[in-house]
Amino acid sequence: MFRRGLIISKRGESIVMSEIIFIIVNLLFFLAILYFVNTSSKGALAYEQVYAKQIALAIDSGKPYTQISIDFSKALDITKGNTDNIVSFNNNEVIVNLGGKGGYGFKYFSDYDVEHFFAGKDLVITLKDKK
Amino acid sequence: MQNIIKDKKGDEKYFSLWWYLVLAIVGLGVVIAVFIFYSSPIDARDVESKILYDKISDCLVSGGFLESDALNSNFDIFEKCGLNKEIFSGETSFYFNISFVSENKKIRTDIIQGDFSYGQDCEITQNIKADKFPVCNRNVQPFFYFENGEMKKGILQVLTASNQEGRKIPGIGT
Repeated sequence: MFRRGLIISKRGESIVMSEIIFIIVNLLFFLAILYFVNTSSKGALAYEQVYAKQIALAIDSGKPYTQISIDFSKALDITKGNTDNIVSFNNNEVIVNLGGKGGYGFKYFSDYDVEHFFAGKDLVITLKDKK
Repeated sequence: MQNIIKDKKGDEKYFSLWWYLVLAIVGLGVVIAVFIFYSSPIDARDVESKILYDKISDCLVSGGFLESDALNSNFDIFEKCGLNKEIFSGETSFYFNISFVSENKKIRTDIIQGDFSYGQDCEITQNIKADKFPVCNRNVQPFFYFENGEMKKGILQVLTASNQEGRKIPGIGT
């Protein structure tokens, strides 16, 4: 009888430990999933496309000798404040590169000379007629 | 021996291969869903097509009057409207067709630039919805113009289309 009780007790402890480890493993798994979704939503992949299209459409909407200011704070959060080569213009295409992996390109149809610089957390674009 | 086997069964209930397989499938599903969601294109084609119309309309009609040189056969729409000629030639994602109509007849030949197949595509998308087809906008703009010293009324019919989705630029080594 004693022997049987001891065995049951041991089995009970074993199951409780298993349950705790099981819960911890599952919690870690779902925390990892949440972390992944959270970092993805704030990642370069989403914002490169948004900013490239925003800039191209702003250029096409603008007239010569206008200045356009675009809030770039979220992009600068991703690049940790680095503004080097995150926006470039090449053959009527704006390229936004926040992740350092090539970036996202979007063409604009207006024939402007485009100059840009950063003023704080804003991207300032100047449109000029081609000479 | 029987107890030991029972204990093992208890552990297996929580740490079975099947459970890890379920976790792996759920994890993979979430990763794929997130990747598809954040890499899916944001559709700016309609806005782009409308902006193209605005640009053309603004440069051709000023104060209600058609630009005087717009009816000339050598009229350069690219120079006049500040459009990049290269973007509308070759493999392009843009198209426009401008008709100048007065008293139910065309007063000059249409100005057509971009991917000519979009003209037909726009006809098709009037009746059916097709995701991969260009997004088209049809607009009319009334104008006045002078012919032989006489002021006449006309209508500018502009069809603009865009099918630009943008592109992910591969990085070095990817």
